[in-house]
Amino acid sequence: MLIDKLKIDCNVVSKYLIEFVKQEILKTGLKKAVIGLSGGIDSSLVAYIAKEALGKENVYGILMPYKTSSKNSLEDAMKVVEETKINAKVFEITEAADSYIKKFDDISNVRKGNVFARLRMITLFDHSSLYGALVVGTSNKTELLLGYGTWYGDMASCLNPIGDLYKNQIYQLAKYFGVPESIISKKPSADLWVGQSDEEELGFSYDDADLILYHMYDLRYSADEVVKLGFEKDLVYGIAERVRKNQFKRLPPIIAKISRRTINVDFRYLRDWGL
Amino acid sequence: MRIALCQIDTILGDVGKNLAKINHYTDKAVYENCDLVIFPELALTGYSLRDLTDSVALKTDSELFKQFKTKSREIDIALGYVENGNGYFFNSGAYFSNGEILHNHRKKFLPDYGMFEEGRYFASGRSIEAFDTKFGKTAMFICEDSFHISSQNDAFKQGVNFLVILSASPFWMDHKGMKPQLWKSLCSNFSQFSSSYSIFVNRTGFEDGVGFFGGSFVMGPYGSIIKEAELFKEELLIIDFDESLIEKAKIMMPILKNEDIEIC
Repeated sequence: MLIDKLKIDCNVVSKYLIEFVKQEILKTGLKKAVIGLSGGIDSSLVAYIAKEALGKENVYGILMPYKTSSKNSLEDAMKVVEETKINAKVFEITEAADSYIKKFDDISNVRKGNVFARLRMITLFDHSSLYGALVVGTSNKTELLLGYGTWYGDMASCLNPIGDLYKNQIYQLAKYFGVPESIISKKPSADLWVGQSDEEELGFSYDDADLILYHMYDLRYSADEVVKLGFEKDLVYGIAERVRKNQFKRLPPIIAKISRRTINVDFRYLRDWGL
Repeated sequence: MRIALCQIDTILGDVGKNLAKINHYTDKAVYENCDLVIFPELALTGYSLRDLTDSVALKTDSELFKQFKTKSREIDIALGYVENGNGYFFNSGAYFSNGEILHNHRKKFLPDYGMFEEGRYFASGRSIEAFDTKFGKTAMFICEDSFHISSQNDAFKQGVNFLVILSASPFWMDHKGMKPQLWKSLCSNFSQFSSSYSIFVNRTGFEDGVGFFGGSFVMGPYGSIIKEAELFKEELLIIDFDESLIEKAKIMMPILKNEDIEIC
């Protein structure tokens, strides 16, 4: 089966990711993490990893519902809190979001969704300052490649343990860590408006997207070679185009080069410089 | 003969702090009566140096090396550092013994594909030279050197009994396997064909999310693992060697004997 190519060794990968969170945070001189808990599988998994890395007392799950957010989302997020025993705080974004949104007579779902995502980003980074913590990101490789996220919203974080794992691999790890069944079995949703479904909005299934992306970018298949595996041509080319168009979301802003040493062009240092 | 493999994490660009850690582990190895202590590639500096490369480089006659030279009267020390060679930089490994640098190896093969940028910052070494240590004929590789058949051939033809590999090898995995396996199969082959010990010392820690997997090991002259360290965690692995196995392995599989070379 093609999908078997996405299989990971959960034992080794979990150890690796726990060390990643632990070491990349501790080396900054901090020891705490803030995570936006949506009740979805990605942030739930990150909470389990962070708990193992830092200890439950050093992890803060922030639940940031809007008034139309599904009750199930909040309940599922609370299940994660109960299971992991990490610190939790519910911080509603309704008031802040509505006071912004009401300035516009007509605002699209996408714009509203971006406003919610960015208000949550503000909330998380502010709480990271409050607690002396780093924001641990929860974007997976599938959505990062597809650009299915809000730039400087949910895509913003200090470090991200799951950004090199496809959605299918997130499920494998979530089961390995014992993430509650209700979270694993429900349909993935960004829950930015009532009844939203990721796969309906994207127009394809995550498994198909994962396999197309894995072959094209990890195994370096051409689009036509991926089509030969049995995928619709329009789907394969459409996904490739999404990846190209969203490259900007995966990089810091570009800078007009003037000097002989321009930041990130020929002024080249890792973020872990001196750490 | 007892060897200490130090799979340590390093602080990127901070020679002083890395030096303190190296001294700490060296003292531990002395305390444990080891004859040789080995540290990973670029142990003094960290790996992904980019524009820090020139600022952490040392000449072979650097003051800083005096302490290793002194210490090497008690224990042999092998470690990776950035060498300043007349204003150009090498990814080098120094082997200290008996009060001096017995051998300095400049990494010959600098990876410049995928995530690697060594070819941009470093100049290449020219050769793989075996050298005589108190244990016997030894060669030192730095990480990527090992993947080149020509390096293995050079070491093989010089009749090495000990291959010391200083490494900063990043973790990856896919559906076909993972990086640590690749190193084991590579060293297993070399050890079997050359009847030698392969000693792989790989660093740990993360640099901007790139994780170095550790998993250091000693491969015996029959091509099987004698002892190995954990993945992803800093560790001092101490191993007692049975040098007589080398001769026994040569009798069982005398591959070098039938090469067209002078055996010394």
